[in-house]
Amino acid sequence: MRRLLFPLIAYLLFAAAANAQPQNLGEIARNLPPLAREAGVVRLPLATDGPLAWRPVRDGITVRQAEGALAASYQVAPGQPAGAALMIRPGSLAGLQSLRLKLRGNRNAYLTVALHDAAGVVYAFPAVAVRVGDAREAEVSIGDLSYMAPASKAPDPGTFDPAGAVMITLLDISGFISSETPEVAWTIESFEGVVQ
Amino acid sequence: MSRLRLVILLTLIASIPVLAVATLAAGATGAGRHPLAVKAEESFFATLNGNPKVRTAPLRDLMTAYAVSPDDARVNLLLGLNHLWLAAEGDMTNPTVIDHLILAEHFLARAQKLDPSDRRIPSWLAPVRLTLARIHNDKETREQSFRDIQTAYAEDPNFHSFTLALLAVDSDRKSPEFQRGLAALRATEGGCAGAEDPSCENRPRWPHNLEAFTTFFADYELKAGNADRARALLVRAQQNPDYPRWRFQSEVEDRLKNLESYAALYANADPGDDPPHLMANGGFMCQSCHSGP
Repeated sequence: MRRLLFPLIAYLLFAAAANAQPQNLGEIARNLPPLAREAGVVRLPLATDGPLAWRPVRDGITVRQAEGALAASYQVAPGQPAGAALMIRPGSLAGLQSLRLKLRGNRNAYLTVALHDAAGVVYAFPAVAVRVGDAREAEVSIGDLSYMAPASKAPDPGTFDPAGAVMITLLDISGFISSETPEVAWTIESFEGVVQ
Repeated sequence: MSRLRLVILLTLIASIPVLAVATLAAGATGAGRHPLAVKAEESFFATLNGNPKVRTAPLRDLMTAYAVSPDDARVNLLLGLNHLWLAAEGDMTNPTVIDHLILAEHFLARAQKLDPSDRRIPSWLAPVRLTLARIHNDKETREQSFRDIQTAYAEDPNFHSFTLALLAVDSDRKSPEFQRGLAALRATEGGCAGAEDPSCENRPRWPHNLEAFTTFFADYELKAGNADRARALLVRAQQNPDYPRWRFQSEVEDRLKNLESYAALYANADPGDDPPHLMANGGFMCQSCHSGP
């Protein structure tokens, strides 16, 4: 499973030109365990082992769990995204209203939280700021989701039903908007969805 | 201009001091206004002060008011400020934020034309024009924007010191621009002492002006290499009677906790690892002054 996931994720994210969505992505996601819901909150795992594990979205990214938090580190590469991805079972985010993160980093950066469905449609929330120092809380609302054409392999359906999400990605797209290639590290201390 | 530079510039306009919008000329809020304009104004401030998550919501009411009363200076001003807010606290990786800058420039310029007596407008309009000028690589407009804010500062230092400093917040700390901003902030301390000036107070529509300004000032002093001054300012912010209700107390606490390490990050040669600045690279630049209670 673990060996299979990374290529699938990488394929999903970056093989748009090939127009070759893996046919069994939905099937893989359907076989994942459900996420627990409690008092209107879905806690997203921050693990890097097991079936619900975050994976790097390309080579050269280290993703690990440290003291219960998810830590990623990499060098920004021109023309490439960086970040991590988590596959989830369809329905995990049904009724999603917002996502809350608590995060910090080693330098100023922005992370885009994106939701992917099994058809290859990707919708993204507005980017959240990563800052040095103490971890800061950020919340992104479902109302601010918008179609993320560069990462999608299917046309914009007009709306995105979070119940159909099979993957969440945390993406640093600075490789597309800057010529600088710094070493970046960020840590997600908590990550949860607020659901109806 | 690199895309990163654009992102930085977009963050700069964040801090536009929506501050003291309510003190427009009395005529603009007088009995002659269209009821829809009055309603739109209420909608704008209810959102700015109390429900910032829906910051696009006032646009509909404001545009309705504009449709029926296009020469209402205040409606134009609030439209400009609403778009400015959306640009300032928008997704800094999304180029469509520039849409809001263009609209902010349009409405703020029109507000200025309709009410030339409102001399606060340069503090909002100059950063917008400066940002657009940098995108357009328009040196002439850029320099004119700097001159405009300096002229405005000379007329009302207490109100415009913030913007003058803001425009240099990402400059090298030894640069003349940064030092000019620092001097303006320091002058405001004296200028506000004992003065009855809305720019120096908290008011219902800018309920945390003093806490936000003081924290911004502390960031400036810290970047300038004056950690002791920064600490004193942060402590002063905590002593404000309105501080217990301020949503951004954690920003002050974070700085006091990490002051030495932040000073070191400002001092090194890499601006990319500079510590968080209250008025740049964040999502609450306008809210830091205006979000209630």
